[in-house]
Amino acid sequence: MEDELILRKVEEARKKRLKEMWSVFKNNRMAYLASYVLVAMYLMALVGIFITPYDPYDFDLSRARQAPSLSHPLGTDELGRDILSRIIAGAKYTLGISLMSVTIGALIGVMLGLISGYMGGLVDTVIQRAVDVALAFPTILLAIALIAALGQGVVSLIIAIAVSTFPVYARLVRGSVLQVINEDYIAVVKLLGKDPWYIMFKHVLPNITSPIIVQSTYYMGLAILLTSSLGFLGLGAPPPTPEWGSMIGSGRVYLFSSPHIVVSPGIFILVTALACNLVGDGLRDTLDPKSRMFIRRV
Amino acid sequence: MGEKVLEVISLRVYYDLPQGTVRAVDDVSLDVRRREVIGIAGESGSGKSTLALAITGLLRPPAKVVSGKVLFNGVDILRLSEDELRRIRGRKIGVIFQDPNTYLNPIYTSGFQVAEVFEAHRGIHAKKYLNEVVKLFRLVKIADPERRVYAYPHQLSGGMKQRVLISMAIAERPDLIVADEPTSALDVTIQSEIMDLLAEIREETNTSIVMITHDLALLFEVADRVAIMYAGKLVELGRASDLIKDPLHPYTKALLSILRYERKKKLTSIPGSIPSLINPPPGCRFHPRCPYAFSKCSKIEPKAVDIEGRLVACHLVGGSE
Repeated sequence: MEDELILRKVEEARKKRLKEMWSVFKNNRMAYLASYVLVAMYLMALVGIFITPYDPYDFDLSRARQAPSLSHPLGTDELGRDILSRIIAGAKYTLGISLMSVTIGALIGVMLGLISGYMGGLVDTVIQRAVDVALAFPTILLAIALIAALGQGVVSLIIAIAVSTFPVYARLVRGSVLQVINEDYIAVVKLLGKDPWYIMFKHVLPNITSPIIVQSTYYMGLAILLTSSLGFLGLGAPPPTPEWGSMIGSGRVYLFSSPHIVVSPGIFILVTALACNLVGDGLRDTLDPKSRMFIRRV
Repeated sequence: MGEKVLEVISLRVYYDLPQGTVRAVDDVSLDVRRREVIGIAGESGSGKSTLALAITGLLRPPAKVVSGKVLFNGVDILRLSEDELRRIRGRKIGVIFQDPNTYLNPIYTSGFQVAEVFEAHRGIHAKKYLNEVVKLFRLVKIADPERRVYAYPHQLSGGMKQRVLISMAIAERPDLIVADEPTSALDVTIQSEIMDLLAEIREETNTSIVMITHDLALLFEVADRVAIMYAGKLVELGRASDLIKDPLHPYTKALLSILRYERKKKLTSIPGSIPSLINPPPGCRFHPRCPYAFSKCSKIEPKAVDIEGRLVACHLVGGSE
């Protein structure tokens, strides 16, 4: 049948396009590598508690602040707990908090920004003035106030960080929407009689993914840092949670005598944040047809 | 001649602007028959694009229809609701726009966007229509259509993009295609290819085409009949072959003399410029620039008279009333 022949050829072309997208991502060496690092980190977060060499909560003051050795590869902290075990067990908190908070913040912010930019008028004004108010608070102050109100804990941390990130998304997305909304191709879809939600999510949103991805990867790193800042102030994950930021916070007193307590979780935070940024860059290049490296006419 | 697909009856479209009312289309009547290519030509600001918008039901404020009808298969388009219009536009009336580069969403493949047209009209998921898209691409002469379905707009040339847009316009085999300067944004060589393509599509799908352009040379190649507009008025309408051989209205004569410009000869132009449509000159709107103008021209507006199947609005031709 002719129809089947056409469909087979079309399917081949589709597979080829997907393969090309993958090869673009793979060609971005740094992003490709970083994606493995991220996967490893998240695997660690998932199975962490089962593979720790020591109990991350078991303290023993007799072996406090030991330098890295064969039995404790990253040394022990001020209470004699194995740092490697704590880092492995703590991955789920740090990565979980940053991922959840950024996802929630991005979802709310992108929704608000899309509606605000697309609808315009009174809706736009109301949303943007609310965003103004939210942006007027310094991030850390807002987070402190929220945690004070909600009580200390991982969930409050997630909510606090999400609330302090979404206004930036709302503002960013609104601006991008306003650029896209007047394009002729949007007018064409409107004329086809598609409903506003379809146009917003299917035609406007995919055109503005670049700034959203860049912002999200930046915020993944920032969320980890914010968690540790709050931990530093005693508002982070409550002890003895082995959250990386809190580990830095509690180890800061010994920064000069036993730097390994602070340096190890610091390096993990750094690597994770960096990997997020690199993967984000790679994703942006892969998802945006125009910035794909195989730009050529087919 | 076949039956009338489209009939424009003394249409007036005005734009209400703070500076005054712009009479963009002023008392224009026109009909389009089945399988006919009708060309509408005129300078910038002569109201030809406004006419196209009216025909496709795309007029938006500050434009308003003051009087007149646009009958499409006997139904007055100007009286339809947006929902009813949507059922006609795209299905029964296809629209081709000027700049193909801005009418395709850069992040979707061309095939998906054509399929979306089917989806919008028939309500089944776009993917189901890839077959038909390939066939359409074949019809508009896109080489290697199975692969092009997954090509992004930036991977296609301007002419190719215009072909994709044409395939969107003819997807539902409309009775009428309105092409508003379909070739203005393209290279000269591609222009004639696209024009030929439109003519072929007319042959294959029995559709009528309203072609709006200021490129007279291209227009006379493909159009059966040509309407010349000046300052919101239809000044002459007739068969393309008659018009080019024997233009009756002074404005048509002036336009054609520019068209017949020869090498090494000085480029001619019509003296003066198109008048303001807020305060058009009294009488015949062309009289300030007309070499044959006489006293009557500045006082009485000429009525269109029928001379052997041609409509001409000039005091010089036809009987004097």
